[in-house]
Amino acid sequence: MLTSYAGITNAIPAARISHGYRLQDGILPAITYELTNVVQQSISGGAKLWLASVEITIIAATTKAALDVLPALKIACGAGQYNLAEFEAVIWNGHTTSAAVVGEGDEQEPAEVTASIDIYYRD
Amino acid sequence: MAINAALTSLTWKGTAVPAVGSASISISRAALDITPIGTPTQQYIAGVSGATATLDLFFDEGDAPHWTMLTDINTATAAGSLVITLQSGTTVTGNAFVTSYEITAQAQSVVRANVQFQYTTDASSTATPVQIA
Repeated sequence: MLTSYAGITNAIPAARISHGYRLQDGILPAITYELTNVVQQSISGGAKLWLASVEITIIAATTKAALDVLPALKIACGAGQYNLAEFEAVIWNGHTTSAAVVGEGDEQEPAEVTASIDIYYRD
Repeated sequence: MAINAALTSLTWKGTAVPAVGSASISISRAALDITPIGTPTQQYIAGVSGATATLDLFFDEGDAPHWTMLTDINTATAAGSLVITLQSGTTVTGNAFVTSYEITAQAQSVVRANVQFQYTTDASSTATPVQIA
């Protein structure tokens, strides 16, 4: 989903979009995502409806640089067919912003914008 | 032994209904008060039985049974079969009218539909409105 939208990959190459972690000295901006929960929603026979809760974090040198990617991320998080999975509905729940931490060496932390989305899909 | 709530199947008019979030059936039989005046304790006889069902759907007009139920509430002239099969193999069968179809959309969720059914039998039938086998 993230790498399917050029608005994202033009700003952040697919190689910098990773599941769960990124290298501390990796090039910014970058995106990480984490699947926090998958819950079965439907009880009817046949294909089941599932709800996957996902957190997507934009990491950049400044808050502004992270927020600049947010509009594209909102567009990217839409329903559609991605590889073998059909995302029937994608709910944008909101986002949080963390400012960069200024310091020396390991004390430095980049700015982060973390979005929370819910994905409804059938198996 | 507990039974997994995931149904083997749920059909309306013979077609499997997808994206059902929950299903419930309520079977009731009224107790009719026949207490004579002056009698110190209440007396009852069993009345007739009836049944209703409620489905909570993840609404999608592209799912044919979802749309069929919606149109049935205005246009159906006869009751349709509503069959629920549990994983244990138990089947709940009956003919019902759609009596309510409530669609809800709210923030941070998908569109849901709450559908209510009233089971019925033919006037000449002595069968119960819902058969459980």
